[in-house]
Amino acid sequence: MSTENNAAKDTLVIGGHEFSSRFILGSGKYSYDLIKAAVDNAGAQIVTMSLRRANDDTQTNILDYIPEGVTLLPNTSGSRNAEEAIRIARLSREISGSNFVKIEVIPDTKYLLPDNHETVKAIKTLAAEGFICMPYMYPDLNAAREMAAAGAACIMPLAAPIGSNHGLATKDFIQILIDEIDLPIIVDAGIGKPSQACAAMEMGAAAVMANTALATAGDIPAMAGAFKKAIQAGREAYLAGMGAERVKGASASSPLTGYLR
Amino acid sequence: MDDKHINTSILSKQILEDQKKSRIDHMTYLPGMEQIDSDIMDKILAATAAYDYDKCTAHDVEIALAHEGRLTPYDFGALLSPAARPYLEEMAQAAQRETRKHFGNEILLFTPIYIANYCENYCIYCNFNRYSKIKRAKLNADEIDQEMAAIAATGLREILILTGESRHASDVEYIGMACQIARKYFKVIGIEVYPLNSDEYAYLHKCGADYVTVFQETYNPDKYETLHLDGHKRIFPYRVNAQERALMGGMRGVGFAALLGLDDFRKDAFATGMHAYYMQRKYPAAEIAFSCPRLRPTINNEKINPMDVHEAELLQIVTAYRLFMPFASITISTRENARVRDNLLKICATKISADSKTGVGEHSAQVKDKGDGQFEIDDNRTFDQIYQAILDNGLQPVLNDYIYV
Repeated sequence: MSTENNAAKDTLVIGGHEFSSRFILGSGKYSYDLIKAAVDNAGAQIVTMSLRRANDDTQTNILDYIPEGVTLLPNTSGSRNAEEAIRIARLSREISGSNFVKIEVIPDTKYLLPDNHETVKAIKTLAAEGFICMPYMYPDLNAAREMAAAGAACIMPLAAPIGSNHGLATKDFIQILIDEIDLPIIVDAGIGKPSQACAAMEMGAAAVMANTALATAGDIPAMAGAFKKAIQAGREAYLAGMGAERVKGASASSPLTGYLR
Repeated sequence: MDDKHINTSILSKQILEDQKKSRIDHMTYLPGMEQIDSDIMDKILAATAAYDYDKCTAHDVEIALAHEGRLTPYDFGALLSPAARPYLEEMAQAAQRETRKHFGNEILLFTPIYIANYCENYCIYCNFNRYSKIKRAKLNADEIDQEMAAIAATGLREILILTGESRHASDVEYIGMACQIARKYFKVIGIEVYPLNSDEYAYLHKCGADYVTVFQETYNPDKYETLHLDGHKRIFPYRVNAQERALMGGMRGVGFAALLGLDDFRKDAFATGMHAYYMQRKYPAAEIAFSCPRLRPTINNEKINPMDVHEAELLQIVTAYRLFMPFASITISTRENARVRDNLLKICATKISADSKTGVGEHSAQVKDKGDGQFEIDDNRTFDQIYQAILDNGLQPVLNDYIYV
């Protein structure tokens, strides 16, 4: 269930911070010098950043390429368990100065599927340390409830295997999270096209995060702009209230209510 | 207060006089009543206050019907509104689809057993109230055993143990004893007794009870106050929070109901659904059940009626419950006649009592000291007759569906 339905001031609220954009942009897999144009075209206010790339050499630093005013969302990629995620999160905060952390615990190098159990453990520790925890997760209702109880600021279920561009493969399960969890549900991973991002927003997702879809596009900044429009359209459609898609019309007779007196 | 929903059929000269007397504050807990840390009641009251059914439109109803299986609270309100009335057949069809999807063709059978009818409350519509001139009775252990043996002999395996609301006449140990006897004969034991503290619910759970039903009667605290003039039941918040305390005590399932006909039925049905909704979100493992009782005549007042809740309104309410919470158990009371009950089983109810008696000691010929009933039932069919009626409707009677763990 979406918690913010005020169309006049329709903002995304994460950990007490308000954002007007509902597009979270990844910064991996493409050249630093395209980041600014992508961010500008996307209208993104949150950009993820991997600590692995933050200080990789003396030549370039990703921090220098992220436009001012954008909220940095460091992720814990590279961590394989809760303990490693916690260490990376703490280091990221020192470098970026951001309390936001996208918790990614990935003990699997082939499919890059997240470990929900370890993620819950990491949230417990990091939320207590004042981090705004944004957990990447496999869409499982029970795990999402545990993450919410542990102090997560939102839930970021995957739509399909990361980098696959397969779209909403887990649609039914993401819908359950949207319906049942009182936190913003941000669809992350697997979204490959603007139409898929739009569909996620129509379902009531609070935001969409995309990276590979842009990084593998012919024109990265142009694709960023296309996603921006799709996400806005999906959000507006959701707020407008979708028209009825009827499975069956009414029958003329009254077979079930005929008994009434 | 300009109250458009006064059910005059429950009033008498005496009651009108008694309503003028000063009474204790119905929102303040009495000593011994456990106060839990919960925001559920505030959420229910806020949602119900904001629910303006006259603003719901046909379009809202159509959107709600299109949201099959996952209605929002707003959708639920629309289905309970006057705008939904022309859609009753469609609601029934949709409710039937949802019911079959979640329950197949299974109908659970159970029966209530009233083990005592002493009561310390003064609920002006209830025949058990402390001033009501009825024959009181309380079964002893042997009599409970005889009654339960007689019920179990029919084949029933689920029982609902009821008492009047008297902590003195029917204390928690007494109810626990009844649960322990019931374990000899039944696989599923529910209780419908006065609200308890969570440790008392834990005790009864240990004795074998798994399900707790508490009728809130009305969720309008102002109206509640004018209907429950005396006794522990007068304390509105203690009653609203009973289901949560039951779950804290380890019970598997909780039942919700408003007594339809006491106040504005649309608001009360909405509040009942929202109560279940908030509880389910907070306690996702809990089994959720609805009852949908309408006011009935009693031996002391045969004119009591459910005001504006006619058969069509009852159907609207029950189908709205089903569409809002497709997974919930819905019990259809013996307050309704066989025609209504059989049809609601076809549409959306999943549980029905058979061989029902609302008096004390009525199941067994051996019990000599019987007590009068709470209300008059309208479906006197035996277990065998109800069982056959379920089969005749293409449904499957089921005698137990849970394991006590």
